Amino acid sequence: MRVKVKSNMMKGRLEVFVQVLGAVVLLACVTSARAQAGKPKKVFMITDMEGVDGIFSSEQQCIPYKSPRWEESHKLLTGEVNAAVDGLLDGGATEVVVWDGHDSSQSLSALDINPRARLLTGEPVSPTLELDSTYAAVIFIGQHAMAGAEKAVLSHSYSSEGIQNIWVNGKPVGEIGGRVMLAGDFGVPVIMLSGDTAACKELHDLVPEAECAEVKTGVSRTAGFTLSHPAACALIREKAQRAMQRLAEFKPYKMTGPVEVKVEFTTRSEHSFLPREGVERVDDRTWAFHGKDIIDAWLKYSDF
Amino acid sequence: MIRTASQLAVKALILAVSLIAATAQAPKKVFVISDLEGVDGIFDFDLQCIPYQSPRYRESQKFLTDEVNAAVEGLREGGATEVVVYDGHAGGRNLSTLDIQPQVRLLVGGPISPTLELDASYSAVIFIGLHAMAGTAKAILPHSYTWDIQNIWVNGKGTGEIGGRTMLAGYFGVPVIMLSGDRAACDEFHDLVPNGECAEVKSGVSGSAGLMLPHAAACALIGQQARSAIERVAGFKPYRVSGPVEVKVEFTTSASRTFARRDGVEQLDARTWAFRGENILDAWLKYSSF
Repeated sequence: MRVKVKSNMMKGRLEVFVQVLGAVVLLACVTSARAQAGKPKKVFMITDMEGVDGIFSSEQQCIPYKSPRWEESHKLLTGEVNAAVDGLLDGGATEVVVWDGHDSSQSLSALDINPRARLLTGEPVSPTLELDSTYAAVIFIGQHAMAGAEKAVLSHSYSSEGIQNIWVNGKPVGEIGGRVMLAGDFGVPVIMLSGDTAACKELHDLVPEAECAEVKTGVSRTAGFTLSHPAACALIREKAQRAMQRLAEFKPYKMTGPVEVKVEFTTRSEHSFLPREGVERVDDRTWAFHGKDIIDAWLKYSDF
Repeated sequence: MIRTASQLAVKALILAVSLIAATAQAPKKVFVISDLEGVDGIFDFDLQCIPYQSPRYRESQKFLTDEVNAAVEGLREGGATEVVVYDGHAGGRNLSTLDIQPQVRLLVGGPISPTLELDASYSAVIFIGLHAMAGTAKAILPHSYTWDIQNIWVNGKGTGEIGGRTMLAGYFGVPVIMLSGDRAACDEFHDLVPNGECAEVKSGVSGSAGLMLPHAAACALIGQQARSAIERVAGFKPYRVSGPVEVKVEFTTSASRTFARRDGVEQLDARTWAFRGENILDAWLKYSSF
């Protein structure tokens, strides 16, 4: 190199300039990488089964190791979760924790989960799902709409038959709402969901800027149009990556002041609570839970 | 002047190009109605057709999936821009997103609308795996919707699932352009749509026996006929039933159905009911979904 510089001044100066430029760019990269390394982006993924592509029957598809089509359902869920993990990591996530949120957490396996994810399985977990403020974002995969939602595939709120309605400060919520509020209390934004059209609508009502992978559209509670599994996975990966790239635009869902969680159970459900501070019986099937914030109020009723 | 003329020429060119582009991109949405009894290799209901219970059900599922996918590929090669597949056998639970052709939208589960979520936005309907109506000679597993129906007539014409759904599509202005099934199903279809393409994958020698094409040959034939049908779609007209319609249904002795007597609903004898309406939809929906 030096010989060349001496033999041709002009070319040599150019080379020096290029080398210096290269060094500056390298330094910038290292600095930015350090900044990123110093600012890990941990993502918490909440998974469920009823919102996965191809799923429309609880009895035939959703009961772990009992439904006749369970093995297929396991593959569908795993494929979607793994696509989401890839998308998140492509979009800049540094760590992804996957919580297996369907039916007692027995649906995902360490054998075929994306090897770059950490899996949270089994129960009990903490009533706040082991979520905390160290996470940069939460996403939902395979999520369904709340009980009573229109044209929503396998819509329900936590319990498949026990809950008619839940309201938080008068606003109807289901699992999407409850968990968006939980994450919000920890200062963590929910940035993406995959599920049917109704679930997307429910998330957008709370987080208008969220990314949504609409993998199916209900025509009734137990029928609908669905994308093929490969098409659903491609869409999920794209939306997860995009959500992660847009992370800075999101704010956590914050609620101010005291909170009332009101729950109307179905006639089939047998629920009884000890009337105590902040717990009130509204009518035969309806209870109200009051607290200083969403976690305080909700935990008087149940886990998240 | 020259500038104006050249501007006009440019505008005309842009218009022409966009017209050509619009024609090329004119969407062709196709609705596929699938069933199992008319699929190649199928000849026995208990042995093959009860989802997740029949001993040979997994094989049936593969046969059906392959036939549907072959049809979808043929349709796409022939110019279809979008394909929706309705899983029409036993509550819509036979086809899986795991192995369906990846570009389709699959309509699964039930209940769906009584008109099968079909509407006027489609360019064509095709039938895959359909069977002939109840009572047809040398037809494999012939029946009309359920096993407790002896006969259905629409304005006096014997009708099964092929007829009912051809009329439904016709109501929405959508032609049925192709069918795959046994020879009897093809005959039934050609009676309504003489220029329809038919992939005859088997022919019955009785209600539960017949001659079959090998599976690969059946799929190849289906792909070829589907492609040819969609290429010829401009040559098809929807099947229209004009004037007021009477749907008459004769149940078998084993049926236990009754209907509330109301406007347009009449019991003709112990097992036969008539349903009348101003058009096929109006009359048929008094009886049942399509």
